[in-house]
This record gives sequence, structure tokens and C-alpha cells, in this order.
Amino acid sequence: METKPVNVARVSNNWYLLTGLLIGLAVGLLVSLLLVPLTNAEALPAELDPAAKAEYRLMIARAYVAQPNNQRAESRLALLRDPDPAGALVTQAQELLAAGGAEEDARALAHLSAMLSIGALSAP
Amino acid sequence: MHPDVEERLNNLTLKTRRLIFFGITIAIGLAAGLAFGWLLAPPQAPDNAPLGQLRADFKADAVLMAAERFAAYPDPVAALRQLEGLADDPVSMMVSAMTEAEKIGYSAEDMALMKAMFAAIDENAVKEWRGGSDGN
Repeated sequence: METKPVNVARVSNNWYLLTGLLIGLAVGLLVSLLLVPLTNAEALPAELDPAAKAEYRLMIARAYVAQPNNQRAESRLALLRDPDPAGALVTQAQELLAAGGAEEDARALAHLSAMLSIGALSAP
Repeated sequence: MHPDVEERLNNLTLKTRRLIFFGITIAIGLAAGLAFGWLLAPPQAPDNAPLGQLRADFKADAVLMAAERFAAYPDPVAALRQLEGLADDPVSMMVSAMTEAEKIGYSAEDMALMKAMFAAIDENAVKEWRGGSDGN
């Protein structure tokens, strides 16, 4: 009976090692990139949770009422990457009033939204 | 020993050996995959982060926003309340923020606003902000 030469037999018998390596690599990548990925410790305003974004939006509105600077307010709002910044401000103002929040804050949000809607913030 | 039994024993040993090596290569592959994902790949952007996790330069701008409001409505306790979401110790955070602002190159006017607010926040303001928790 003919048998395979020893070297060929050894190589063909060692494919399982490569298979093991690939399986381990696939599991490692799955865990480290999808299941438990490393996340940046610091966030941009657009990466904040909804409550934090609302607080940030309120800060912008309060600052604008105190020291109206159109360019500054617009660039700050842009950081939040709201699909509808004016709408988000109005919604927040309404929610604040409904929750019994400070009228002054609701007015600040509404004022900023109004300025944004009329295009005042885009003016130089 | 009977040749058949001996041959079976040899095969069992070979099988066990292969299993061990297979396990070792899985472990090596796993380590390599984890190392790539956790050490080499860039970290992912956070999602739904709290305000306190804001990047340092944006915290500096938040302090500036509080300072702009303070300039018009000088209320140190209100300023502390506005900033308390950014850090457990807003006073220390203000110092870090002003250092960051200087590093970034904020204008002299903006730095003056921040410093004026910081200077106005005294022990009484901090006590009032904390709600008089020291018992006084």
C-alpha cells in the first residue's frame, strides 16, 4: 500500500493549527470591535445624551440672551448637529414649561429659536 | 501489549495532543484579535455621553457661556448651578477650563469674563450652592 511521504503528511495534518488561529482571531476581533469596543473617554457635543444636549442647548440660549453674538451662537448650536436646531429649541422650551421649569429659560430658548428661524444668526 | 491496543493508545495520545495545540492556537488568535481591537484600532466615538464627559475644550466654552451670562446677571450661585452638570467640583473644573482656554487662545475679553466670574465665586456662594451641607 502506498503511503504519503512524511513531509506532506505533516503539512496536511497541521492545517488545524491555522484553523484554530483564525477562529481565535475572529472571536477576538468580534469581542474587541463589536461587543466590547474601546470608546473615547471624551465626547463632542453631538455625542451627548438627550438630557445633556438639552442642558448644553440651554447654556447656549442663556449666553445668547446675556450677550447676543449671532456667529458664536450659530457655531455653538451647529456642534450639536441637530437635524432641526430651531425646532429642537422650541420643543425644549415647550417641554420645559410643561415640566414647570423656569419661564426665563423657556423664553431664552424660544428667543434663540426665533432668531435662528428668521436667519438672524446667519447674518454677519 | 496487543498491537491493536497499542495502536489505539497512540492514536488517543495524538488526538489529545492535537486538541491541546488547537486550543493554544485559538488562544493565540484570540489574544491577537483582542490586542488589535483594544490597542491598535482607534477608539470609537462615545454615544449618549453625560455632560461631564464633554471634551476639555468644549467644557471651556461651557464655562465661557456661564461667564457671559454672569456678566449680565451676576449670580455666583446660579453660575455654579449651571456648571454643576459638567463636574462634581465646578470650581476646580473652572480652573481647568480657564487653563484650557488660555492654551487654545481665547481672547483677552473672554478670559476676563471667565476670570471675573471665578473671582466672584467665594466660599459663601459655594456653601449656598451646596445647600449649606456643612451644617452652618
